[in-house]
Amino acid sequence: MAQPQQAQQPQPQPQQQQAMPEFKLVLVGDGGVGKTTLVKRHLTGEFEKKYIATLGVEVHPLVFSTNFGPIKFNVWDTAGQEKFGGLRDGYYIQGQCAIIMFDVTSRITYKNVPNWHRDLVRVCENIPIVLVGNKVDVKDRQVKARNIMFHRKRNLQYYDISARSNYNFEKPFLWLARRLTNQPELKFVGQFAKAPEIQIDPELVKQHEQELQQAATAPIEDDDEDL
Amino acid sequence: MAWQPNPQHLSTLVQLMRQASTPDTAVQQQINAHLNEFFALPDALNYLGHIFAMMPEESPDVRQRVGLMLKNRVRSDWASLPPNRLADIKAKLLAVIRDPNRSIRSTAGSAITTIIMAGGAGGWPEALTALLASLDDANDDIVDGSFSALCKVCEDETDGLRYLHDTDFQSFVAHHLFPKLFAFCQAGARPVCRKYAIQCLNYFANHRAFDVGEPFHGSLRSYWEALGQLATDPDPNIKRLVCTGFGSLADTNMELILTAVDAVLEFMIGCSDSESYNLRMEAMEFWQPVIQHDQCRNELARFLPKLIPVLLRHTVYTEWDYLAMDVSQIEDDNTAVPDEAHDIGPRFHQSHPRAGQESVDEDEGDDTQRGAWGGDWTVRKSAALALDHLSTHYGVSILPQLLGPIEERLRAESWDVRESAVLCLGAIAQGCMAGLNQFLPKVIELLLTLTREPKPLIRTISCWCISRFSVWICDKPNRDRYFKTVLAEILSHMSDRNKRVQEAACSAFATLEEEARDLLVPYLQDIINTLVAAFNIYQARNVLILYDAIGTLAEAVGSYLRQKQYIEALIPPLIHRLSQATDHDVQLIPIFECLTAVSHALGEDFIPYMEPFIVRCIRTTNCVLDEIDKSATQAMSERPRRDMLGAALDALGAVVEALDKKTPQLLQTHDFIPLLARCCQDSNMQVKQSSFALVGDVSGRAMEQLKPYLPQIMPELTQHLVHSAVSVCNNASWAIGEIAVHGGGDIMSPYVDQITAQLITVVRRENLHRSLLQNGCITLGRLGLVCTAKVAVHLEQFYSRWCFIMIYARNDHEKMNAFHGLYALIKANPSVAMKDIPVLLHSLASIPNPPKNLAQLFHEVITALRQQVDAAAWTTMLNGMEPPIRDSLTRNYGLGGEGGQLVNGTGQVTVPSS
Repeated sequence: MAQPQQAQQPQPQPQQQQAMPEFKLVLVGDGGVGKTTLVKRHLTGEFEKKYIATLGVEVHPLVFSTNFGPIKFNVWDTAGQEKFGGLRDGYYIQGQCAIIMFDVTSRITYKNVPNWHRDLVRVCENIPIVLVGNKVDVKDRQVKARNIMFHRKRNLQYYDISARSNYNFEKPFLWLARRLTNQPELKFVGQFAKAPEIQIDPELVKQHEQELQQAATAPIEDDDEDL
Repeated sequence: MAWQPNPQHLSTLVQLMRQASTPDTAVQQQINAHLNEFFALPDALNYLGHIFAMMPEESPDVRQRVGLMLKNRVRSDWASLPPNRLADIKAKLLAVIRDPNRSIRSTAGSAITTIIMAGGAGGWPEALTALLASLDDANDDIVDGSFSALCKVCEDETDGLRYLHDTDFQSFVAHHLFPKLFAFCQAGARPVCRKYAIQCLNYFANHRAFDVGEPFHGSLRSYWEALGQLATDPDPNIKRLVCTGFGSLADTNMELILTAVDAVLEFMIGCSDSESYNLRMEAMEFWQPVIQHDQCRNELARFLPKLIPVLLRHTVYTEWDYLAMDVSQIEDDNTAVPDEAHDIGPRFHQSHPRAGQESVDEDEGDDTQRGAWGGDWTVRKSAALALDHLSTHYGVSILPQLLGPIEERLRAESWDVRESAVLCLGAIAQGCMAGLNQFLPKVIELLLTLTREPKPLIRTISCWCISRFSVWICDKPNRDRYFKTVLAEILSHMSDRNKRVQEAACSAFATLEEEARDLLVPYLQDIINTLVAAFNIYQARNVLILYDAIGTLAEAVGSYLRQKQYIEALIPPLIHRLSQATDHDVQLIPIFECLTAVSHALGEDFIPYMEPFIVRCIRTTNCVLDEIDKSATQAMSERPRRDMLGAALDALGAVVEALDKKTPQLLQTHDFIPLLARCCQDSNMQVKQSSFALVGDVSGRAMEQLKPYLPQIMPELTQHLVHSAVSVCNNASWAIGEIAVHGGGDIMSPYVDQITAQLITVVRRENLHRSLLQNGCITLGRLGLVCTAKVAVHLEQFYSRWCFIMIYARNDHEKMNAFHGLYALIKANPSVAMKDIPVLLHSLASIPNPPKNLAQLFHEVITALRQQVDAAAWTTMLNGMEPPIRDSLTRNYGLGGEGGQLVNGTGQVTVPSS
């Protein structure tokens, strides 16, 4: 891979003839960590506050405009809850890249990351994977940044993200796009997410307060998340 | 008759499984619905087994999908699986493990593993035996299928130490598997076997199965030898697995590594320098445990001449670093490019502890650590961290080996080598600081040059690196020569043409500020000019850091900021920003925090500017309280931003402090006390913490205005004297004390009994946070001052404990206040003090210079007490005390004067004849 030269715009390569590159992206992680919300954020710009468990899988094409032309991820947003799993790891087949998501306000979702990773690599042996910790907009974070070590030796990329505030929400896709195209100079251009719209949702508020309550009352075991 | 598929059902299922690759939600939902119907068939699993094992003509994807489904069904239906059906599945799986297609074999292996995990190794002993037997098959595919299956079994059995409960598996491993695995690790074994063998063994090592007292401790030696054998394999994948193994041993069994330390270290250095990125990554992790192990570190010393160049070399950016890099880091001039909202991380408000209290937050290191090494993890970071560990543990002794090569690299032709050398310098800054002293003049000069490099990445890292030497730069012998130059350089880069260099310079400035403090004073004009100029060019992200830098400046120089020209330059832009910020702006919290710090520094000089700030704080408070109301009763879009509320309340506290005696006038036009009373009652602990602090601030300045709301506020304060949130308790305790001394006995009287009871519970607890105990005592003392009679009744319950805790309390105004209270209480209830005189004397002796009036009062108390005690007992008691305590008592309280005993300098007690 060539090292990028600064101050030089990489030349966009016209791709009229070529079809848009397309990649199957598998999105996994415990139920309620925000997988569907992240996808919806990209699709519609909305922040979905209601928790509706995904049944089996929802597949959404996400197209990003880049300085190398458009690139498409078919995101297989899989059910986090076991009982709604559908084909489960059957959905991973032919996956070309993956995002494993956990919720930084819930320790158990981080503890389960190795299980998701193992199931994933047993089907897709050598694919680029990004680990993301969602909900960093919540003040009472339970999984501290310094304790997130799982990605280190496994060569996964890690990002803190917030689907609520949009913080870093495009980073996992950008990293995967660069990896898959072998272009470190690749960048997203133009508007790739619609402006968030304010929407009214009473249930969410209650639910979120509950989450916070649970997070607040969860027993604090120190430094047990080195996996 | 053997089972036969219904052709109709079979073709439906195959059809569904073919469709299942369609990237379409509707199709997927239909498939799920059909599958639910299909699984109603009693023999559904037979169909899965049939397609997976008996239809090699079908596409591998379909077969794999079916195989995974079979695996998942076996797991979920395990308890209800008929034995004959399971037997059929088992037989098929053992056949498929020999399939020519790798992903099919692998899927069969996963299914086999699932069955063994569900039923134990004893539930299906033939499987393990068959797999083991296939390892010698001439066909590589069969070996691969069988070995990868065994590998998965080992992985899952060791995960969560499940094998401890599977004795059949343990016995299989000890008698059959391990001998085979160890044999495969020998030279000459087939490459595929070597790889899987060490992978299996590593699972056990990683879960400490070879440790003393563990089931496979007997095989430790063989494992060790296996690693040694494999270390000579040229394949980087094998080497990587060997590194993993040595890494496990380094964590658990360093003694073993020490038996062949030269070979291991040599090997690991080679791997750390490998062409293979993944191998380097694995190997780099090894150095931390080695460096931290005393004996190993001694051995490593001989290898440093080899290791150090390797570490230095691999701090250079690789494609893996570029992969995660933002274009803004390398663009030449992007000052004018607006930041995206999604690049701005969440900001949280952090309340400062009240004056005289210690911070009880232990999580503060989190973000700083990220700032230093970043969130991404690459070989570069790993190598730099290893250098950090080296410098911390070897200290200055390795400097000669480090400095030459680093300096050479600092002058290297290629920019990325120079960049990496700066990173290395920063990495060793803290550990080698003492020895770097003599070299730093040269180093700093060099860094100053590097901050002017054309590549933004070098300018960025140089700013960071310089700030790592802040202590040295501000140190007396060096400051004259370097402080001004370094400051000027950093300030100039706060207006760099690259945004990320601005960011690095701004952070470096904040670090330098904290160290420099008063040293900044002569340069305040330049600093303020730079900060104000930065407002005009910064994009959203850096503006946030700028607020922090200004806040830190205010904290660092304090009242030196009270100069007309500084105030006039700095404050209007801040107030302007405040007025521009919307109610949902991410800037709002940082601006509040910044102006809070500024207000503390400027005091009354801030008054002319504070009106819009106060208005904004009150508006924000109202705004969030509204959100809270709405969230309780009706639909709304976002959760209430209580964090913002905390920031606004803390800001009002600073305003009140600055206004001081003019606070009542403020309240005439902007009466926030009703809001404050409301906030005290909020359920959120951060809001309570800030509210209670503000109550305390207000009570000393506007008691009359606060008074009508005390019936609402006092019960909240009382209730939270005992609570799990330490800062909330501390503030409640402090606020009560303030109300007591400023409001007096009449105001406190309705509440004092309950408060006293609560506080007694607090101070009598053994395992509470020290600050809570001390604050509880201080408040008790202050209550004693104003409600003497009511508190004195309970004196016996807390007197000894009180005196004991106060020995260790900080000697401030509040402590003196509290001792005045104690005096009043003893006066009202003297018999209690008689019961424990030594603790009182100890406590009094802990005040180095008691105010005259306090000393006089306790002189009186001591004299009175002495008269009640038998002279010999008194003498014995005094003799039992440490000389410094006796000295303090003599010096400060005249112990021994006025016809009492005279304690002379030698500690001897002279009793005058009567």
